[in-house]
Order: sequence, then C-alpha cells, then structure tokens
Amino acid sequence: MIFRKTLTNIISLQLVLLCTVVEIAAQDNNRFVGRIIDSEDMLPVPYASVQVKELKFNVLTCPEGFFRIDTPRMDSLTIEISFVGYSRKIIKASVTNSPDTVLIELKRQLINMEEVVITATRSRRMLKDVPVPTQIISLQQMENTGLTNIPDIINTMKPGVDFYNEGRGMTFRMQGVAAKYSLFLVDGERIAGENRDNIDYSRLVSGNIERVEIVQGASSSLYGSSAIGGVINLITRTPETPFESEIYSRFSKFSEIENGFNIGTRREKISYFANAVRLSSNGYDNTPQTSDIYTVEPYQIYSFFNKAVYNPSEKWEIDTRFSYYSRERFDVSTIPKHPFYSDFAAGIKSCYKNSDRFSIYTSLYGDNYNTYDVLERRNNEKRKTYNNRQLTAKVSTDIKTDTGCNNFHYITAGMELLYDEMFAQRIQDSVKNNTILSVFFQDEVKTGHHVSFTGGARADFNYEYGSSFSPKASVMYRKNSMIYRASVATGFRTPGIKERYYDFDLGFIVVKGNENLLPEKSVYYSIAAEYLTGNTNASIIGYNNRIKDMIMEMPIEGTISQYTYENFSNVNIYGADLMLRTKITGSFTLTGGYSFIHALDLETKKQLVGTSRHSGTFSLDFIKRMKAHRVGINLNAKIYGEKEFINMDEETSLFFNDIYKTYSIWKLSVNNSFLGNSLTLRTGIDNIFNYRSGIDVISIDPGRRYFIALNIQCGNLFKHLVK
Amino acid sequence: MKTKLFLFSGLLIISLTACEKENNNPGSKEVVLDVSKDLFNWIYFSFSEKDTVSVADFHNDVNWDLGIRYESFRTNGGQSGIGQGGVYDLGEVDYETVTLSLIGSADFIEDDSIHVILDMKPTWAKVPGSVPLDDMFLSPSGPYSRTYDPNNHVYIIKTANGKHVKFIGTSFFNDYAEEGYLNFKFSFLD
Repeated sequence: MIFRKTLTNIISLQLVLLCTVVEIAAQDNNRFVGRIIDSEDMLPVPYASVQVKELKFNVLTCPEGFFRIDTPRMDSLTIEISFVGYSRKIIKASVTNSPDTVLIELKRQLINMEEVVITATRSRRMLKDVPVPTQIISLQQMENTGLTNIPDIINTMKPGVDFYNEGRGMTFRMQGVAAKYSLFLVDGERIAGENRDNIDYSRLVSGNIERVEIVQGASSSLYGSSAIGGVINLITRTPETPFESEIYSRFSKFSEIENGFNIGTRREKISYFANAVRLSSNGYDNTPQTSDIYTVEPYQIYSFFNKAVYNPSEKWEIDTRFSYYSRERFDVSTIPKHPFYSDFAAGIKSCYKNSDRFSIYTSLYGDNYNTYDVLERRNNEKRKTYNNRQLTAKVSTDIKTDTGCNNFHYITAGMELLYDEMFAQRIQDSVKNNTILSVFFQDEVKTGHHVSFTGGARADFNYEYGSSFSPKASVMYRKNSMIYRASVATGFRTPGIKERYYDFDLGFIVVKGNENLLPEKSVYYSIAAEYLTGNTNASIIGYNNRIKDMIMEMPIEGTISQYTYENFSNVNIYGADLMLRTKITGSFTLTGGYSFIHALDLETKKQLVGTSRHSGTFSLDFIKRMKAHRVGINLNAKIYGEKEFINMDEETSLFFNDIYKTYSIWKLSVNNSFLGNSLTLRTGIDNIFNYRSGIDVISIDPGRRYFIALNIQCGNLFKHLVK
Repeated sequence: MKTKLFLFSGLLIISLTACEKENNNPGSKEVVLDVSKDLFNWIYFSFSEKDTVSVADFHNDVNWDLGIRYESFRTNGGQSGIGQGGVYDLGEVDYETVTLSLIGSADFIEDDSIHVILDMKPTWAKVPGSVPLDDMFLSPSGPYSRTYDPNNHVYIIKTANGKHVKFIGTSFFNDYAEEGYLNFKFSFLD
C-alpha cells in the first residue's frame, strides 16, 4: 500500500511538472509515453485526465499533451483518458523501455453526458443521471454566438424562456410565468435587489460564467420560495490550467463597448479566478417623438468578480469569493438626477468530501444591493433610494449508500437560514425585514441499472408567514440512449416585501401594499422523453403547472386610480417544449427548439398577458478546426409568437390590452482563431433583418447592428510567440 | 394636447415661498417657486414684487402678473384678467441677448382657455389661461415620463400694467430632483 502510494506520488509529480522530463527520464523502469491529440485538428489536448486503472491514480497531460508512466513491475496497463468535451477513451498499453511516444486521438463530443450539473438535485450529478431535465448552455455555445449578455444568450438558446421589455425595464417569462416566479442564482446563491419584480440583469456578466444550467418547472422542494416556473443557475468559471489570462474587447453600434480581462491559475492546492469588465454605451432612442426619453439611456457598468479555492487536503475544499458591481445610467432628460446602482457580495463555502459516499457543505453568503439618486445640482451627491441585503447560511450533506443488488440511495439533506432586509422610500416605515429557516431532504433511490425514484420535501419556516411544505416525487427510466422522466412537484412564492408594504402615491395613481396576502402555491406535473448521445440530444417535455392565489395589482373597490395587491387569480398552464441539438456533420451543429404555452387565467378565461402561445429558437453552428486556426460561424434566431401586452393610450393615458404581433430577431457571428488559437477575431450582425418595433414595448431592439470583438489568450499567445 | 398626468409627487412639502437669487445679468432674477402642492390651485406672482402675492379675485385684480397652477400659466389679460397681460413667444433664442427692440410690433397673445385637471379621476376642464405658456415644460405621457424638460423658449410677458418682462422656464425640479419646483428667470425690459 505504502509502495503504491509512493509510486503514485512519484509518477504524478514527474508527469505534472514539465514535458521535458519525458526526454531525460531514467531508463531503468518500464514506461509508457503518450501524447493526447484532438482527432480533428491534431492539436495537443492539454490537462486531460489520464487514469491508470491498475494503479488507481490520475495524472494530467502537460500543456503539449504529453504524459508518461514509469512502472518497474508492470508490462501492460489499462489507461482511461478523459477530458471535458471529448469522448472518454480506454486503451490497453504495453509498457516497455522503448522511448517511442504513442499518439492517442480523442474525439470531440457535442454533448458531454458525463458533465457534472448541480441545479437539478443541489448536488453534483452527471447530466445523464439527473431526475429532472436540465438544459446547459456551455461556454463554447456562448462564445460562438458572439453575445456577451446573459439574457441575450438564454433568449437565443432557449424557447419558452423569453426576455423582453416591459415598461422601461427588462423582464422574462419562463414556461409562461413572470420573472418573480423563477429563481436566478449564481453558483446556487440568490441574487439580492429587485426592480418591478426583476433582478438587475446587468449584473450577469458573461465573462465570469462557465455555463448556464436551466431547470424548468417547480423546484421549491429544493430552493424554496419563487421556484415555481424554474431555476436558472449561472455557474462561475474555474481555471483549468496553471496560468490563464484573457483580454477581450467588443465594439458595437451606439458606442456599445465592452472591455474586460480574466486571469486564473490552478495549482495543486489552490486555484484563483478573477474577471473585471467595463461596459458602456451611448444609448439609443427608438421613439424620437419623445426626445427627452431614450429607449436605452447611456450607461456605464463596472464589474469585478474573483474567487479563490484552497484545498487544505484532498478531502477538503474552501471557496472564498467577493464581487463588486456598479452601473450608472445617465438620464438624458433635464431632471437633475440620474440613477446609480451598486452591489457588493461576498461568501465563503466549504466542502468536505470524506469519500465518494459522503460530503458535507457549509456556506455563508451575503449580498448587498443599493440604488442611489445622483443629485447633479448638489455636486453629484448620492442619495440612497433602495437597499436590499440578504445573508444566507447553509449546511447540507450528500450521502450515497449501497443497499446491495445494484440498489443505491443518494441522499441530499440540509438546512438554510435566510435574512432578507429591504430599505425603500416607497414602503411603509422605509425598512422591513424577514427571516426564513428551511430544511430540505431528498432521496434518490436507484434500483438496478435503469430505474430511479426520487422523493423529497422542503419545509420553510417564515417569520412572517409561518410554515410552507413543498414535497416532490419523480421517476426516471434510462435504457441505452433513451431517458424517460415523470415528476410531480410543488412550488410556492411568499409575497414580497413590496407587495405587503408598498406605499406609492403619485397623486394620480396610488398603490398600497396588502399585509394579508397569502403565499402563492403551485403543483407542477411533467413527463419527458429524452434521447441523449454524445452527438445528439433531443427531448420533448409536456407539463401542467397549476398556480393558486396568484398575486395581482387590483383596483381598490370604491376608489379611482388606487390599487393594491390581492390573491386574485388561479392559473392553469399546459405546455410542451421540444428541443434538438445534433451534430449534422463533423463541422455543422443544428440546435432548435419550439415551445407551446397555453396559460389560462381562470378568472379572465384568457391567455396570461405577456405570454406567447408559440415561440422558437434556431441555431446553426459551423466550426472548423485546422492546425493553424479555427473558424466558427453561428446563425441564430429567436421567434417570438403573438402575445398580449398592456399599452397606454397617448391621448387619454388609459391602459388597455393590445396585441404584439409575431416577430423574430436573427443574429450572425463569424469568428476566426489564429496564432495557436490565442487570438480570436469575431464579427457579426445583431438583428440581421433590421426588425424595429417603433414603440418602446416588448421589443426595444434598435435594429441592425454590426459588431467586432477581439479576444486574446495571453498565455497561449506568449507560448506561440516563444515557439 | 399636453398630458398632465402623473404630475404630483407631494414628497416634500415646503411653504409657498419663492427662492430668489441674483443673476450675472444685471436686473435678471432667478426664482424657484414651490408649486408641488398646487396641482389644483392657482398661485399668483408679481414681477415687480419678485414674489407671490395674495389674490382673492384674480379676474379683477391687477396686482399679479403671472398665474401658476403646477405647469399651467395665465397672464393678467384676455380671459384671465383685466390687466394688459399677454405673451410673445420668441422661440429658442439666447435669453441674454433679448432686448425690447427685438419685439417690434409683434402681436402679444392674450389669454384664452386651456385644459387643466380638476381632480384625480381625472376630470378635465377648460379654464382661462395662456396657450403659448402651456408648452413651457414638456411632459410626455406615461408613468415613467415625467421629465418636464423645458422647451427653452424665451417669452416676453406683458405685465398687468403693460411693462415687458423677458422670461424663461429653466427647470421643474429642486436641487433634490423633486418635481413641482418651478425654476424661471426674468428681467424687465423697460
């Protein structure tokens, strides 16, 4: 045992250090020298995992793709090679004292079925094993679209999730329900601050995001309040190599400029990643008839994110992070003020993994979001108008037990404490707070090779509302490439602080909160079939979401232009999502989707306002990798079906329901990577067919825009130039 | 029609006093008048007094020159009063360079009737007022559009006793960006 460990350590050390070690190694041992290359472009695959089955150890390939195994006592080895985005490969290797290097080709995979996802179960599970369908938008997909705005990226990739304009801000709907019924998370943490039921989407900077995980349908049994429509979880980047550095810049119409950099390192015990970005725009005006108001006003955003991960031992990982964000929006009117938004978030997480069978997670995370008025006549003095601070403490554990005969239990259990405090000028007494204690439990029982059952529940003890109980159950059957899933889950949403305590008096319009509101509750049924292979993912999901006691803004009886919030409506949503992602040939990938939503308001017997019955996405990617460079082309479209929206009569200033016709936005992006893929030049067209609405509702797209972007991988560039 | 919805913030209530400061231009006065509570009331300003004045019967009183009802105005002439009041709109010109000689034989527009709201329903009504001054602050419709951008026109206002005052509305906000604070500049031309 000691010998094996020692041997493993020696080999690992030798292999991880430098490629040149290969050439000067001692000749006494038997050895195997290999080089992993991409089967398409024949370029080396650095930092791929090489596992020697007989010795039970892992090493990584060096930056040039080499690895070497020295063993004094074995003639052949079983070597398993794996790397994100490639098919796993197992080879039988003869170990000799020959110095010849064996070339091993890895095949690229469109879909990494063994990719670990977190959102569906609140624990690390492979994509193919999760009991509820999870959709992933990978970094490569994001990059190939040429888009850098997370809502734009999700819009482009996902039918049934529609970001659009409402009033003077962005909002979205997922499976027919409004933004307040869905949760946006960053690495599993809630995002503080809201404006008209929406988080500040400008905070979501793609530069620090590795992938987006989308779980549609009720998830309150794991995530508590607001997870009625689904959960969108943004997973931040983790460095893969000892040194990573990237500078990027994007320029588009209206002087929309994004400049940023990433830096990261991954060592044996520590890894670090930081992203800093500045975005600015001169804004634009789609409605020149209102010259004092821009559709999008000039803005300037600064964002900084960094996280450090330290491994005191093989079993223990500590993650610390903090982020800062500010946005200043420059009002083009003569009102002597403009808004300024800022956020500071920090957290610490610990993961202790005793074995594959037991892990315990603890975390403490705080998020502090502020809105200010900048008083231009008072030397730009900042006056705070809104503050939301959230502090979350969590403890959870994952336990895997083997009950024999291929029966396993995967148990996830934990508790959370959330303190939520809000200051706003327009709520009673200006400051309100709430505390929620939650416990959750989930058991996934895997029986045999094909079937698993999952049951779980969460209890939330809300200081304001007492307790809520959210159970769920699901079943999954997987055989070969087919996965069938069925689930029933409950969701709930406690009324927000604004809905309870709002005190908004414009004279002409008065909106008052209602302290007697009940939580909104839902039951979600879904059935899904999925075909999942390395190169194709096709799925169909049918669902029914019944939401009770939906909170709406209603006129106060006997008053004029006075409103309050009431548990007014029940909604019954039937829908279906079809998704396809497939590699047509070696270079072409087709992605498409269609979403049907019949969202019936049981009070009005009409489709929910703002919800399209039909929507779709289309994306065609061409990627050609050559030795010297890589070419990528992406053509994508989002088709938004007809929907109702609330319009206002310019003459009478009265609101009325109007119809917004079907429209589509098409985008093209072309990129070329050269100098060893260290430089990527990207150019393209947003809104190819120049769609413009003419009114600032639903779509605020300003029409056709050309963009150009440059991305420099500094480390790779340096290596390439040195060569 | 100028939309007059969403006019009333009512957040900071200060007594009806005019704040006045000397301008670099000799004889020119800058005034900030709190009209935030006057969505339904008229208050009256005298250019010679440089302040608001008390008026019991506006139609038969010659001690006021400019009536203000939030963002609506009247002069002491035509349908509004028995004085010699009226308005001549010079458009967007340099306020500092305006002199009496620019006016020539221009026709001053006496007050006619303008639309104002009477209550929160809202009920609209026609009352005596100055049509040219009605567009001094732009307030496009919509709950998020209360910008009250000044049109930057320079007006010549004839006072009740026939004197000429050059006048420009500069803002509808106070230093804390609260709406309902009429900022204007004026000076006598004769």
